[in-house]
Amino acid sequence: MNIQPPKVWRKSKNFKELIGRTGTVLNFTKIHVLPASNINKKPYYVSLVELENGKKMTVQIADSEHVNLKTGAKVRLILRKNAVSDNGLIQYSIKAMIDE
Amino acid sequence: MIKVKGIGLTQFGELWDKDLKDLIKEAADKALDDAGMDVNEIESVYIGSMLCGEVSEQSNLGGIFSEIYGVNIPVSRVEAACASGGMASYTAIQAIKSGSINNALVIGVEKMTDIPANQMSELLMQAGAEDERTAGATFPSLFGMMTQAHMNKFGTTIEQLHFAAMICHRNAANNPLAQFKHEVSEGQIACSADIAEPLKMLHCSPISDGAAAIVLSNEEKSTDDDAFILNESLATDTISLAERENLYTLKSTQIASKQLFANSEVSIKDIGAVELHDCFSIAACMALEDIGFVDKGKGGEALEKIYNGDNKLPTLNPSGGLKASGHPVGATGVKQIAEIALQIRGQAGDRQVKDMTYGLTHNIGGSGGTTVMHLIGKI
Repeated sequence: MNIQPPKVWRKSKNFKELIGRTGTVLNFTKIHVLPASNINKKPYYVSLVELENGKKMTVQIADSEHVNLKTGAKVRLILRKNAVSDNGLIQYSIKAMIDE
Repeated sequence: MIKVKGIGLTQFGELWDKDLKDLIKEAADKALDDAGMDVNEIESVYIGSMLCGEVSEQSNLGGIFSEIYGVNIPVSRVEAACASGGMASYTAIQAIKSGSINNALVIGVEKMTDIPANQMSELLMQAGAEDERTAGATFPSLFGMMTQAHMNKFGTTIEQLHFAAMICHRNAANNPLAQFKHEVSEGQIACSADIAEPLKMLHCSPISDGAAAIVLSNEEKSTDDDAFILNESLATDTISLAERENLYTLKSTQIASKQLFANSEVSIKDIGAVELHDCFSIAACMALEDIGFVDKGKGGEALEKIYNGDNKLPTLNPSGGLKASGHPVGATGVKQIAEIALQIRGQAGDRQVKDMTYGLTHNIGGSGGTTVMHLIGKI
């Protein structure tokens, strides 16, 4: 993934309206063969979630290695460090945490 | 009428000794030779390629073509992700139909194996949405979620999806240009590595190099064995899965299929063979339903029936499909048309489908943001 300052800044503008929102897991998959940008991670879940306002989004599940994800699971959107670029730019992104 | 006058195919696979230019030249030379035409008779060229700039660091493909053949004719690059080849063909057909040209050369080409697979996985996500890339989604993962959605909605089983790969590998065993010319068993599929749950490695099409070319000509003359483009259709849908009504339908395919058969004397029941876009096994299952060969939810059963020789359903992916023939993304849509045209001409060798009068091709871009279809047959 191409981590560029303007892109990271532009994307961060909608964080405020997403953080803390709750939703439900509609579909999910666990990715075992990882793309180059996530090559150092352990297998992780990506999920299609439906938020309480009816909006759907594709999002990575935070702390995937400790989760046994199921359809219908309740999630909460959080901000997490996603990646660091070669020139040290930290990219944060919205992820979903299982809402116990 | 638009005749598929020339066909040229390269080997599909890991072609380390051939670059983008070599592949373009080989496929185009073969297509021109097959058409019995000189390059100077071609009025316009359409080249489908998704990643020539990213992998081969080569854009401006018109200049490449001009340099190979010493001509200065119009050449356009057409991009629609994995549907680039189908889209290039569609575009050439519109030009011929407009009356501005009579003879077009369409080339689909992709050079994919020069970079590591994890980088290719990243590049292919250009065909997805920004939110999906940020989430770390890969194409197998998008189709993995579609698989789960289809299973949850219709009770489709992973064992039924194995048949998509088994059909393609069985057919590819008779295609000398296929990347994987061998059969696979249910056990091999089930034991293959996890890619994106529930998809295993042998549910996924490979990374491939290759090119395909066709000469399309405005011609009325026909022998009994000539193949003609009878109709073509194109539809789009949202790039994000999250913006779709559901994950178990490709709306762009449903719309394109309806358009393809609208006002046509050919019915879906007349189709002898279909080259459909089986980038992942679930895509074959959904395409059978969304094109209209079977009712929604019956794709899994249909795959099993086709594998067991049910003659009420068309021959599926006689070339070996994306799964076993290989999937050089820009080349695939052109290869599909070439394969159906070969079948109609009766030139498909050991994989020849009997009594072929009509066939169709189905080429999708990304997770279904684009569908291009062609109806091909005798006149």
